Amino acid sequence: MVRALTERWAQLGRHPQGRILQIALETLWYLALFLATWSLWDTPRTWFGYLSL
Amino acid sequence: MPQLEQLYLFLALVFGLSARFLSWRQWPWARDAVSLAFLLSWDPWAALAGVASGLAAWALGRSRVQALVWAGIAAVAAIFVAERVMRRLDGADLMLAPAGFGFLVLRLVHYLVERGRGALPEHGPRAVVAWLLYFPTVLVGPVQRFDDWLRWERRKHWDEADAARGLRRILYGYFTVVVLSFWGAGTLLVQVLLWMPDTLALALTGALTLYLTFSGLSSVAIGLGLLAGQRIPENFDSPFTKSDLPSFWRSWHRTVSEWCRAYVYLPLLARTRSSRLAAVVGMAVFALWHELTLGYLAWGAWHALGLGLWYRLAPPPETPRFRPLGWALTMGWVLAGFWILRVWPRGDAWYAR
Repeated sequence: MVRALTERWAQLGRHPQGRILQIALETLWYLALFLATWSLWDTPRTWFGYLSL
Repeated sequence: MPQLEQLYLFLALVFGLSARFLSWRQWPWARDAVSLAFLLSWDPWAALAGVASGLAAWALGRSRVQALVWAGIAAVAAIFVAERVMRRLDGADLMLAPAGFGFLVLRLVHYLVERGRGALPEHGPRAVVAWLLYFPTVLVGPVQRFDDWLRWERRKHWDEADAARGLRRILYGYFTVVVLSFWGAGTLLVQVLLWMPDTLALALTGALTLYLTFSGLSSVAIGLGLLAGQRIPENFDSPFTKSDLPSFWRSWHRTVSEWCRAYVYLPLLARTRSSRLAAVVGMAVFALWHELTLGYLAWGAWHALGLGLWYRLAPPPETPRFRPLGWALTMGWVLAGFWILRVWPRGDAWYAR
């Protein structure tokens, strides 16, 4: 199923309008990742907790 | 440590932009300045330790006197053990060593052994220091071999595709560290696994949080390397999907387990012809590198036992029908290992009583 989806995604990119859609979706995806990271940036966590190594 | 985060991100920006816009003559200066600026403002001892040990290692290697090289390796190992012992002597987890000390020790031993074997290409002292202090990997690895680092450093190649992949890796890395490890492993899973005994649930979430944080930070380091057109080896390869214990160990903190294989397991195997002894000692070194405690020793022994049983009893790894059972057994074994670490009393250093 993953292979079929990857193939469909590649097919979409070969079509000019599909490529525009692909770029828009990729931009949204990276923006979502960035915003999620940004919004949780101040949550407590063990940043560089491996310094003690 | 918000200050460290901000400093790291700011210097990452300088690192990436200088790789893009400076010439290849100027770039090494910017790279080394970023590395030094980071360490000097975070932990000046780490900068001093890196520069001094790098110069000393280069000089020892250059002497081509085997006894001196071996004395250097023994000195590095002795300093490492002494620091680990002293750190726990009064029961507190004191931070005596400079930041990134454990990784520095692994790099130095690798360099001295390979230099003693005459297996490294010609290089000057600055390359050794720059590699030891290399900004993306200096604090939490991955542990890159010197010859590998030097090859990419001399390639002097920057392209957009690599830089774009680097930016993507950095974003995925921080997303993994910040969002997945906090929200995914930290809270959601605890709620789902409420039926589990407390220590087991904590061991599982602890293992996942450790994996997500560490693999995310490794991704950030690898992404930073790509921004400068350099490859840094992968540290993790989906370890929680593996269906046998040897594969798990080839995909979990790979650069350090490969170090143990190259510098403990294989030399011992060659001398003693006993794979069992070599595996036990290799696993013990890997475990005690983390912390010189009985808890870690028990964890290492548990995995050495698991690997021994696996090689003796398991069917060929390609047997497809065995995969689901193999996965369950492997994950159970790994989880039990984390459980041992969690339930073992803290401050159990036998030499500190």
